[in-house]
Amino acid sequence: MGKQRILSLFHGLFLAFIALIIIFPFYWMIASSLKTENQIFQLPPVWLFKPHFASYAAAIVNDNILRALLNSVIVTVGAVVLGVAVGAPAAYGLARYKFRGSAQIQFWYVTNWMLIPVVVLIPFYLLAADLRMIDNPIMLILIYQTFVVPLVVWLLVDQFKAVPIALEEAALLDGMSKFGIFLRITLPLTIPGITVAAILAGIFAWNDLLYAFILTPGTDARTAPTVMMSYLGGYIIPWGRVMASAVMITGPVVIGGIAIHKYIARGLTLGAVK
Amino acid sequence: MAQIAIDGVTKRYGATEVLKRLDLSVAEGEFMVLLGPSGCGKTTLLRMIAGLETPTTGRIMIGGTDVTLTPPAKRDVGMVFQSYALYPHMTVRENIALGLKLRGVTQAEIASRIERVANLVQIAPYLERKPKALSGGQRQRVALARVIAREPSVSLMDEPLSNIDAQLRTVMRAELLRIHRKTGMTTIYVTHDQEEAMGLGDRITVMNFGHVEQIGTPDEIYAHPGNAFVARFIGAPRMNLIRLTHRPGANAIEASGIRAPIPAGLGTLPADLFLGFRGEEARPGTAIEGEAIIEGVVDVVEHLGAQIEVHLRLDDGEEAVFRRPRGEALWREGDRMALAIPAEHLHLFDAGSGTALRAG
Amino acid sequence: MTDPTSPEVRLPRLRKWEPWFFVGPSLILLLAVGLYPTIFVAYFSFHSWTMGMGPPVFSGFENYVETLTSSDFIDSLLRTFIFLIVTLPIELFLGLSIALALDQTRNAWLRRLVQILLVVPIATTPSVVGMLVQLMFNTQLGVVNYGLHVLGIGPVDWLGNAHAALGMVMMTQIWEWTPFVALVLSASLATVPQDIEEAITLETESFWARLRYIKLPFLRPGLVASIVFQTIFTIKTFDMIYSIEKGGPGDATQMIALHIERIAFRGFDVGLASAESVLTLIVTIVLAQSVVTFLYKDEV
Repeated sequence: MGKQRILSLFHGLFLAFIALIIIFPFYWMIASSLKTENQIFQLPPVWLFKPHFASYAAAIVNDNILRALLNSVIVTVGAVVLGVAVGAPAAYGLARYKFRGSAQIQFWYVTNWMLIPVVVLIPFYLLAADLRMIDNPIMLILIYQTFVVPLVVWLLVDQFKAVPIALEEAALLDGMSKFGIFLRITLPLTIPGITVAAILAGIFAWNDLLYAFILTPGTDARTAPTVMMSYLGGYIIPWGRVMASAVMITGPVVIGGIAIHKYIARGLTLGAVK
Repeated sequence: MAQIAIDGVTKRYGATEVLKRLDLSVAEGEFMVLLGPSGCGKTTLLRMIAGLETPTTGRIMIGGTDVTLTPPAKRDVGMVFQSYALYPHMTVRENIALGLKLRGVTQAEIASRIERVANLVQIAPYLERKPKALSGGQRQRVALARVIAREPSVSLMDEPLSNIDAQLRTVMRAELLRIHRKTGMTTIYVTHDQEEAMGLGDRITVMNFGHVEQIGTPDEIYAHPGNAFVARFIGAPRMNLIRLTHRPGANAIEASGIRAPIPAGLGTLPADLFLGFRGEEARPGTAIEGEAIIEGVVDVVEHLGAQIEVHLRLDDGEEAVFRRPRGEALWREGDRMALAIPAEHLHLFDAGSGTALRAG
Repeated sequence: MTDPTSPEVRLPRLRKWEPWFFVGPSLILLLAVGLYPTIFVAYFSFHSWTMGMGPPVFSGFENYVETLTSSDFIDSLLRTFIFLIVTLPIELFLGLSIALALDQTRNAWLRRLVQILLVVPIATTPSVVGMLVQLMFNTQLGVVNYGLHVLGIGPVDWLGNAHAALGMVMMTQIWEWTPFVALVLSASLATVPQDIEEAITLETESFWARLRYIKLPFLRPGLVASIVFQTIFTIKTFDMIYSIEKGGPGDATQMIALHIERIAFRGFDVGLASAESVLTLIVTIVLAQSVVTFLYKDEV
């Protein structure tokens, strides 16, 4: 029994260590955002201090972070809404019908997501430039579909399969159209699953830097992660403001991730185990 | 082979007591059945013998050694799970071999045991198949083979026939008996099916709500149930239990349409009684001296093939059920009739405690 | 049985088209947004075109030749491979350890906490991670070097030294993606049926035996999925590395994605960038395919 105890202790310590490694950078980020510029780089590091919100104020005033956050919200919500609107029916079609080409279509979705962003970016950029749509969020919303749709479809196919087909058959006997069934029977039952897929897709859309800083580089149109890049421009990096912005940018996605943490693993593997 | 002793064992989960104080002993080579309805604790007890659960108090002894805190792998116990627990990624042969390999049995010995077991249980044609390619009955036999090949001191079975359809079940029951006779392994078998228990067990432990109601051979339990619960649980159709009030001092047990002699040596009878008799021990017609008589109106007649099951509505509204061979008589709904029951097949129970009233 | 004179039942036209009605919109969208760019890129890979310097001119395989002989491209590709070869096994090993530890741990509170925390690095904005890394790994004033100093190890020039920078980028990648592997493997472990787990406890106490015979078969799909995903993610990596040092110092952390971005959006050489993109895409697909084939070779 002693061996058991030692093993348990070891497991516990290991996991605690992992927890620490994950938490520490976040602690550092939040702490730095609340310190004065001097405190940030003090050695030995300052562990206890009085929080100052000056960095946040500076970020909002100098770097237009609120505008960027708003842009991120617009683009993320737009991309997710479009992706779900298009991806949910697709997942339903793949789940309920066996038809020629369904395997190929699924392969096509996966391939889309495998494309290196840069590949897709070049033509998109040129097109946007031609149409004078640089700095237009619509271009971002469209290009994000390359990973939003495959993700949504991948996660939702299993959700739809899990809805008992007897319910749909009963509605069919009642005279409902196929699409009506999808809309009024199946969809309401899968709202939790759709929410998870939407939040996950939203996380990836929000976090994107590459597409965003190429397609919406302008100060007014840029999304939140791009603000990070702007700090690299000058000679001196204003670390306080950087960390404050960082907190404001990662806050929403980390909270979103925690909200769905139980379902991420399940959703990811269900698709992966195929 | 080893004998098993359960000594003062209880099991509690938080505030709920799942197993009340239990003492049980199983002899070497005995086939002991733990019988009871769902939730009675029989599976919990089995799992404690296996080592998958630990008792809250008490000791478990196998072969004279206290194994209460020994890990399952060291107890030398084999178990057939209700779901068979066959390793899905291995062939039947590998499934059987794994336990042996892990215990250091030589390759040659493993091969010879597998051959022996495969013939015993008749799975030789499936040795190279994977579990998903087998039917329920075949999987059950593989699970059984896995335990037999290991030659453990004790073999445990958790409702192994419950996932098999009815026809096959009777076949498998006979197989299990045959195999037990051949191997002589000390076996503990859990089931909720009383017919299975009666057919297979050397002795049966009837359990209910975490405690033991009665332990005995199938015959003892059938003919001399210790309480109303055991009386009703064993036998199909169930024993008829009729509730009556007894007037103290009366020289017979009487109610409207019912008259039974009081068996000797019982002392004062309680006022609230159950009168019990099995349908198969009752005889339609007039009672002779010393027999009980029960009158009623034929309510429902079911034709079951070789037998006819008759439900009788008694004067006080209770029901008595009996079966007679087909063609013996014409049973018409609404007819009034009488059943005669010999004294030795009459059972009396205290309606409050359920205990059987016995002479002595 | 069937009456030869009665015609076979024909489903009304609508039925056959039904699935396409559902799948259609997404297909159209992705064809526009995914296929069009791919064809575009393939087309322009055969042209010589630098933006702002005249129209595209057909040039056959010139771009491809230039790419394959350019040490920059080859270097970036090699660097990306090294990046992958080092980070992937570490991620798998750590991820598996975490998944196993989670599985074995009885402390429900700790388990819950770690499960929640595992999501965090995956959800975090990579470009933010990059900036944070810059802050924490600062040579003179960073907290990491301070920690090393306390342990008696001299200051490491994370941002200036090419090797150290590569190491730093690798560590960050591992930090970001190991939790993903851990989550996938943890979910795989959860699919092990309880009765089989119990059955094996009756046979052996050995943790390694249980791992090998019982858990590994169930871990396999998760491992394969992790390897495939990680391969693709790693080749795609851009945000995090870019925000640390834009691929610096010098070329030290310039992975393939950064290299192509530089050619396309700093050098504006669309033709060359297209050729490089096509080649990289082929490499990615070949790599992913061979991983799947190799790992599933003994299963149908």
